[in-house]
Amino acid sequence: MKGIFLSSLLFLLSGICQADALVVVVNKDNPVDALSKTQVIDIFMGRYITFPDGNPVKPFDLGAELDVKRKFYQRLVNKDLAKINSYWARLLFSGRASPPESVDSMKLLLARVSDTKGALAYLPEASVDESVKVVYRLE
Amino acid sequence: MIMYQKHILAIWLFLGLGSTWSWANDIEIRTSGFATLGFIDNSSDSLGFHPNLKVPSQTGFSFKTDTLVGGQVNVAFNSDWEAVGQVVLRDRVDKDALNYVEMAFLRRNLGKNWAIRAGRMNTDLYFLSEYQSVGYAYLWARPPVEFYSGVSSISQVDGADILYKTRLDTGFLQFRMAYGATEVKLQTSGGDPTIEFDDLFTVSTIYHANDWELRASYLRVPTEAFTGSIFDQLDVAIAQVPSVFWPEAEEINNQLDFVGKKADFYGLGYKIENDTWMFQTELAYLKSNWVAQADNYSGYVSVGYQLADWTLYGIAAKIKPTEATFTLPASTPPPGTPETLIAMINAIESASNQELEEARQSQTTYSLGVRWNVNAKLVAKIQWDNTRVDASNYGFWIADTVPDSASRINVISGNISVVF
Repeated sequence: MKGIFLSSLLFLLSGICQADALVVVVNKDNPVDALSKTQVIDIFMGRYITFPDGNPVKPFDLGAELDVKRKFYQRLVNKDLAKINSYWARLLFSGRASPPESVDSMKLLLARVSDTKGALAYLPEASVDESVKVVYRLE
Repeated sequence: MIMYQKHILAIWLFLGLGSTWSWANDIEIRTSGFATLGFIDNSSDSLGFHPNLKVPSQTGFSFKTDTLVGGQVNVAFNSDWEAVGQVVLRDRVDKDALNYVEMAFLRRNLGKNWAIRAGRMNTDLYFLSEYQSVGYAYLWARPPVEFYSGVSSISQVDGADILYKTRLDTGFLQFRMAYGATEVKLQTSGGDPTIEFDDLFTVSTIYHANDWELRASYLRVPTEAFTGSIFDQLDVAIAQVPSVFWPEAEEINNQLDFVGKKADFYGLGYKIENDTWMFQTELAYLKSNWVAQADNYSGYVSVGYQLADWTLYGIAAKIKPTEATFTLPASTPPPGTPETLIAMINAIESASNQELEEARQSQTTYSLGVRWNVNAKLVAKIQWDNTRVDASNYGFWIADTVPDSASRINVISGNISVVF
């Protein structure tokens, strides 16, 4: 009985964790198969504009899904959205870099990643479909 | 002025060699902007306050000092080429249309580590140097005047720069060099001079890792032309005295002349922040071989404490000359010099020495402020600055009659800043 209870609890927890898990994805035809956390940070924080193989990268933000966006940056660089917004204001208005393009829905995001060879985006793992490829999983 | 414009054109042509521009569907145009509505309440009715020498000073209450609006266009032709233009409308000493253009440059990315820009850019000398007009982007209602006022006279350069960036250990390193020229019109108690700086060179390096950032910068800025200052009038007055009656006149003129002189600026900065605390400090040394600009140290320390959407902060800032005021060598009119001429020479000496004293900057400010993140695009701030200005050293203030004793002045600043 106890074993069944524990197994059920673990199954339930894994479901919750998966629902809460965020992944970074690219176009399924992108030759990049994996990125490190450092490489993801360098792209989403505007330091590099190419993938490690030298191909141009186009990052996307989930604009309307603020909870997902908040969790992504908290896990990636441990900063809240207010600090991320200030950071990007500094980069944008100093002319150094532009922030990721903001997309208003998960459905539109998947469409943009499918259409854009150099796309890089984040979304809940549960939203991943066959049109994209996972290259990093945020713990 | 024409020379460096030709250089910019040559650099743009060079950047274009051997590259293929892809037009049509690859072009991305992004527009954005920022604005601040702000007020100051200066406790002094006789000493005009301004955040830097390019902005007209105000006494009493005013909305003019900090209120501004900026617009920017980014045109990405492809992954290698981008053009950026930014205009900032605010109250300025120099109302020439070109001065409202904050940035206008073309960038060529060379792989992931290198980039070259040509056009008008901000000089990368201190933490806020590239976004000082964007109140949303930093903590304070007002950057410390002691550190930012003087050096922000050289906030832009028309020329070119090269950037190198790379991962280094657990952090990220950036190295930038810029070369070019700039022209500024400033407001000082000694007039509103227009200064041309040619052959301007800056180098900066930044390293940031995790939650902290360290930066160092250097600026060399020689003066090409200098007009509109009281020193011009003194120059004219000195020239009216025959040199036989004032043997020291030529030497004095050489020393008071800003043209051909240069300044060197050395800056260091460090900041660190976590979810709750933020600490930032910068220190600078300015060395000038012009007698009217005393060598000085300037710096500040800022600490902030964040609780949810509110951040309380404090700043201590100081600027202090490292040398005594230059005084003109005493005149030695030969026997037989007419009394009227002796009186004239004495008057010019007195006026020059007074001007040299009043051009100095020596003051300390303690500030307290709070920032409220109203929402994702709007912030509100209020800040109280209490400044003690040392006797006669009112170089950052504008006055018809400069006090010869120390003063304590309060300035309250409040503003709301937005990005869009």
